[in-house]
Amino acid sequence: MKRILFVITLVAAVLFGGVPKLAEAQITTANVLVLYDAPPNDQYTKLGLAYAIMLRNLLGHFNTKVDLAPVNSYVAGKMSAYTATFYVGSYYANPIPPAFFADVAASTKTVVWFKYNIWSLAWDPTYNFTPRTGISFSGLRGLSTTPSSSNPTPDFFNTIAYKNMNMVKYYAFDAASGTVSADPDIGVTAIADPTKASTLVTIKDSQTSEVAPYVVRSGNFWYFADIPLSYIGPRDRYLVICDMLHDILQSNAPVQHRALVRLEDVNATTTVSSMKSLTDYLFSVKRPFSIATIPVYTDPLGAYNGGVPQTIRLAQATGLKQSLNYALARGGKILMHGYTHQYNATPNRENAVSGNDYEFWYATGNRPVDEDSTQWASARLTSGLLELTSSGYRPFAWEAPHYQSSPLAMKAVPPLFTKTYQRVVYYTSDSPNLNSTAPNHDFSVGQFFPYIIKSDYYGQFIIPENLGNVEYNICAIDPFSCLTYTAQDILTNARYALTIRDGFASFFFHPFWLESGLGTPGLADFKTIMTGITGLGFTFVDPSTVQ
Amino acid sequence: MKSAHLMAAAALAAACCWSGAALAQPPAASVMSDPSVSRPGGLAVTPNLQIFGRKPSPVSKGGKVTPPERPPVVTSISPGVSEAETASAERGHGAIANTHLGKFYRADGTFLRQ
Repeated sequence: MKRILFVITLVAAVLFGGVPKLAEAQITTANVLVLYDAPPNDQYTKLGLAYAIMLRNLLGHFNTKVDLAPVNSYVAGKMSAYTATFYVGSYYANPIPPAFFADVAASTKTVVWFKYNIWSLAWDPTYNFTPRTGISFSGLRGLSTTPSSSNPTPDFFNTIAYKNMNMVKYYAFDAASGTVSADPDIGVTAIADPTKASTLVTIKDSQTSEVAPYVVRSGNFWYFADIPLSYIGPRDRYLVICDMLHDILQSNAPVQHRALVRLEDVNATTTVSSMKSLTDYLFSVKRPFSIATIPVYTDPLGAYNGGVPQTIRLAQATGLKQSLNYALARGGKILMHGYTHQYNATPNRENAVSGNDYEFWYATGNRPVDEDSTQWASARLTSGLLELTSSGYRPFAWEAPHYQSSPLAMKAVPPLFTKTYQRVVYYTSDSPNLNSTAPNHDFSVGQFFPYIIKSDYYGQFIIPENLGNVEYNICAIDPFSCLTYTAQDILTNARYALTIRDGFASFFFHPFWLESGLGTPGLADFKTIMTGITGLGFTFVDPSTVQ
Repeated sequence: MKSAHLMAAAALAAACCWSGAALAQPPAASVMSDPSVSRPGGLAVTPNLQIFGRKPSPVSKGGKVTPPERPPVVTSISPGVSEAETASAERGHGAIANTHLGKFYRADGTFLRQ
């Protein structure tokens, strides 16, 4: 009996020991604590919370349970209940409880520190930081000088090198106002003991060619030189944290590059021929796709109808139903994109026409609409669903018009849709005060995701869209269409998306670009994107079943 | 005894094989698996990088740490997607200007735009 027990014990020990620990971490829910700065009565009081929400959303990709808390509320021992603790040091010299430093110094759990206030840990010998971690902290670097019209782009550490891609930080200077829109400061660290610490990612000053550590690691301790959540974009260092969370959380995720394509703003006025051309092409190359459908088209001011108001319900939209039925039979899947994709008879950015205006956000006032409530939004969503289902269509997901809804409107989504397919704007309160000059003002935060988010800050399951869409400058025809975003821009974004080990290449496309009167190479560019993304190694998948 | 040892040996061999197989798999595209990262100290950087201002004097245990000097250029910091990105890549524009969409109504009141 003893021998049998011995064998069983040995087999169990060897087998479990043989399985990499990383795999264990993947199946176990990790409790994660995100601490942020929240200094009172300041213009940036809620900036830390905004970052914390963004980080929490990314953590929603993983098997995690995340708690957010201001760092000043930290009490001794709190982090011991968590697998990993993130501190977002967004506020220079924010007072931090000494208990937090002591616990970080003593912790054997994962600790990730972003940007500021590391000096209080690194320079107080109480915490034995450099001898213990092998990392030294020396100070800060930022813009080398104040920009001017004669020198609009002073140097700073702006280029992160990651997986053979250069990711350049956002920078804009308005000479007229003197405003610099950028987040140039970094914490400068060095490896004092190479046996204990490593520089994993670097950041370069592209003008002086100096190179500094961007991400350093010593055992369970990680330091990021900035907060990679400001001014994010599809080629930005935001992708570094998105990918490195796999290392930090030891996800052991396999390399997997999937792609998604969505036909956008499809409504009663979309031409049947455009949809047929796109559907025929996608079907011929066996690519699954989705159709972001606006159930009810309305133009209450008659902007596109000689001044005569026009509303087309789905029951009357013969062309739309033809297009949807044709696509459904060829691999297309329907998601719901607003109820009317406009607000009311008030222009809400453009002209109150479906597809053009915001529906769940008063964009012209940068605030919720007057009727805003979860109940009001829920009623509109329910009306849209009824419109679709009564014509025999069952959408697999929700996409907010122009990716923006109020906080209360967003709360209406999860009870009605199990999935969303979008980027999202988040807020630091449910009744956001976005007056940027007021102390304690709120922030709205646009965020895209390179991978699926199982549950975001508002409880939404998010299928990602991260590459954007083609735009042609047709100002002469349409004064609201004056942007250019090319197929090559989309493909460049896709190349950057490859840096995420399980990253998607997900883009959307407006079928109206195929209309002959516009003279735009819509179909050719669409095919260029599809073949280009495939050529990069992505595999197009069905968005309705993707997990 | 013999069978117990045999079973243990088999289990050990199986575990070794599994471990070997795991090692033989292509490494995940992790920054941690990059050879340049895995060498002592990791990636090369500029030695003795300058910082802004002067580093404060060292403090003794429990002494008050003086923060490093902060680069003086004040910038506007915005969390999330930049407005430039929002305008160019994500907002889109859902309908192209038309003048008389009413002409696509059919006699039965339905709408069809070929």
